[in-house]
Amino acid sequence: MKELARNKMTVNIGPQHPSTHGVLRLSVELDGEKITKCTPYLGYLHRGLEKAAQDRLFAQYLPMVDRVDYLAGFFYSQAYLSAVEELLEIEIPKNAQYIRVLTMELNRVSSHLLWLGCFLMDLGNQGAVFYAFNLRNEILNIFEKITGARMMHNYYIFGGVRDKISNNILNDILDFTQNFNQKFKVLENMITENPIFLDRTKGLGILTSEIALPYAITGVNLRASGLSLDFRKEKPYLIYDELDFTVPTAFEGDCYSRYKLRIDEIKISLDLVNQCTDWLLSHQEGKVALELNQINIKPKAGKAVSYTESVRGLVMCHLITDGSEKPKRVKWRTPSFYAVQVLEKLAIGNTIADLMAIYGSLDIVLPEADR
Amino acid sequence: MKTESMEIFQTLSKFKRNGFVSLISLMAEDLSPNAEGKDEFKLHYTLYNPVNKEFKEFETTINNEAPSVSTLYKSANYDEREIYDLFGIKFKNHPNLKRIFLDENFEGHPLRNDYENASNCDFKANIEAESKE
Amino acid sequence: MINSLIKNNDAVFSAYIKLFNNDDNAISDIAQTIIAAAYPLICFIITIIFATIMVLLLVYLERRILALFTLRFGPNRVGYEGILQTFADAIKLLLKEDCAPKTRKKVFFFMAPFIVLCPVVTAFCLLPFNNFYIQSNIEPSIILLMALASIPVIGVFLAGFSSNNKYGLIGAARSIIQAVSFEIPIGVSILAITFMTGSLNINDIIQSQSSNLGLFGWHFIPQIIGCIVFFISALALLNRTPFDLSEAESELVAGYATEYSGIKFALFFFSEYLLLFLISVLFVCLFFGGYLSPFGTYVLPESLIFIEQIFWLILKTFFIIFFIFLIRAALPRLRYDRVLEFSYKILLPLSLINLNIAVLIQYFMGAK
Repeated sequence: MKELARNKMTVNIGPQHPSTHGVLRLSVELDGEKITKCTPYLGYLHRGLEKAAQDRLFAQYLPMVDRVDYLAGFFYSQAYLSAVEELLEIEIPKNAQYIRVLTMELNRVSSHLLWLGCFLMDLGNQGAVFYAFNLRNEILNIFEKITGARMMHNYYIFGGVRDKISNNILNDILDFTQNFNQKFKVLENMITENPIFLDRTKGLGILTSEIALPYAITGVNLRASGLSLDFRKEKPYLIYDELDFTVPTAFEGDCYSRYKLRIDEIKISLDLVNQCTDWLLSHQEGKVALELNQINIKPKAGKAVSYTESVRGLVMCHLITDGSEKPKRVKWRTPSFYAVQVLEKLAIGNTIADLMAIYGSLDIVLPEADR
Repeated sequence: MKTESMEIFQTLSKFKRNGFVSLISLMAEDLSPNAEGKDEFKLHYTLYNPVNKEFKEFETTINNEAPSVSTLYKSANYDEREIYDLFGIKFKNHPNLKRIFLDENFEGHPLRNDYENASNCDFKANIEAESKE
Repeated sequence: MINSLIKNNDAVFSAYIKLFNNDDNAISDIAQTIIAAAYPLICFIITIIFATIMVLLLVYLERRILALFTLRFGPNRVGYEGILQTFADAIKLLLKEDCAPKTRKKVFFFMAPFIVLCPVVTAFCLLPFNNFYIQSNIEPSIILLMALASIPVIGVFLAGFSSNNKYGLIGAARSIIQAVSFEIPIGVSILAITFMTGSLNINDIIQSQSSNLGLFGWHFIPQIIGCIVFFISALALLNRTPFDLSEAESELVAGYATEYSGIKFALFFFSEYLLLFLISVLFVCLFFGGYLSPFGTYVLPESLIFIEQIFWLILKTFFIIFFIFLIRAALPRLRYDRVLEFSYKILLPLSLINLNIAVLIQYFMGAK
């Protein structure tokens, strides 16, 4: 019997999405309800950040680095500064290292909360966003107390951080972490055992490690597939080797295990925040920055690569200098760029509703992918 | 390690066979003009072996073309498109060598050293010419 | 033949029918014509006023209640605590330009909102608000009600089809399949209730629940499975969360009503909220005793009972509506193929089991 010829329909999703995903255009070819091909179009948020570095002094580029991924600004600042400090052959003081880790882990929690709210909104639960954003708001208020800004902090400088964190703010942070679990339980109870949620995420978008490794996926997406790779333990930077934490791993690789891992990461990050805060409370007299002239930064000619475990995966900053006061080449290796590519592969065979669930669970953030 | 362009594919295949299954980063750097006044680029590959948890960095110098490694490492597909978009390096045997960030009709490759001085990179003039048609 | 369909267990409608037939020539011909024309007209005006107020109230309540569940305020500025918000939205929609795609099928495009709206407004005349004044008390009133509640599906299909728009078509197709699949469990649940009551008339069903036990004599206790099946199927018929995939903005813009603007768009949502109210009243009438008091006897004196009955009905209906809004705030959306699986594999067998239980109860308690 001859196969009936079926017309394939091409549907365009984006670049504007109703749920805070970022500007990604997906051109999806449908056969009935199933997707046969999914083509992402990047570049809507391309700001030329790599070229911008070539015309600017190191200090002029530093505020732009916060904006490579505006939801995880601290991590990119750390990546850039780590590379520059390696070429300057300096080591920042202990207090500065603890402060950097503290702010980075709080940033991880706030970014995961935003991800959680938006993921649930995608699945249809329009109430969960507000609960998640309420918790995130408290973290942004803490950032405002520490750095003066809620996002785009511009807090890290060459040689350390701008200012020490006072005891009042450290106690506020401890209050926040102690009250967090109780408030988060409201959200968790609504979602984690919910049969509709489980039905929509379990067994969906399975990313095995055989697919993930050639696509260079790192971070939670890889850890949900069974490979326990966390660059805070792999190539420890700052004071991560002195802190006590575990790296959760899951083995199914579906949307549900990615969700579960991010929830676990929130709790582990808050524990790290507690450890850093306790250390800082008892070591307030240390310096937080080296005495460096911030404008007159001239690292030696050479190449430095920094590895940072950001919210969504591995962030590498490749820095090539030629001894002058401007960098010669800055390259950002960002995790969402590769996640978009794997989305192209995971979409095939699913319906559009499932595509949005997979897209949400991979935690793709476009400013990172487009730079 | 520095090798000539055509041996890139063989070298990376050898690395892949030895367990470096993940190409976590591919960067290009513009070194033109070189001693003979021609274009010269350097590609930096960073590979990872999840079994031994080992990293390897591999650099190579090319002129304007390089073989595509997207059949060995899937992540190279987008990486090479980005390098083509920003530098103009053509990768042979790439399944889909199109621009990824910039518009399809954009002329010029921004991160090249000769970008700002080239007279054929006037995007505004292109738009005016198209709107007159 | 039509006279045999008229029920006479209420006061006003029976009186009207007697005057309409005028068998014993009690009134003159002119008076008969006037009454024959005036009664439907008065009923229509009452229904329209009541429906409009109810929709404005429901839209406001939904936004306010949903907001309070999600830690927000909702509209609280326009009028006292935002009561006039829907009124303002309605005025805005009425004043909008009615732009429509050039490639639409004009006749169907125009007809669709009316096909969706008119049956729902008509169905209001069948609702028993109290025992004395039911606008149209016919024998098979529940069947007519369900039939009228099913006609809007055709309007939805026409809306999606005539828009000449991919998203509209997909949304419309999904809405129809969902509506048709969930009609069956609802129908079987209603069938079970009619077995227990022995009548298809809603007023009879309500009266059969009245007893000294009050609350415990209502149908939701022996028919608990039917109650749950009816409620879930009703949520699906109304395209409400968790079954609102056809309106999911993250995937399909606005479903079947994508290309509508202005008054026509307003009419679609008017009818959606009206249907919500209608199905809630039906649910309360079938399972929770309609206008009956939960204490068994009425609080107010004999002559004012009809006011108290309206009060009880409205109170119970708003409880159910509140619960429906809570479900919207709390649950994510069900995936579309799982929706259909759920209907055929779970709800339908459950409703059939429920039907068997009803028959068995009747058998052991003696048929009525």
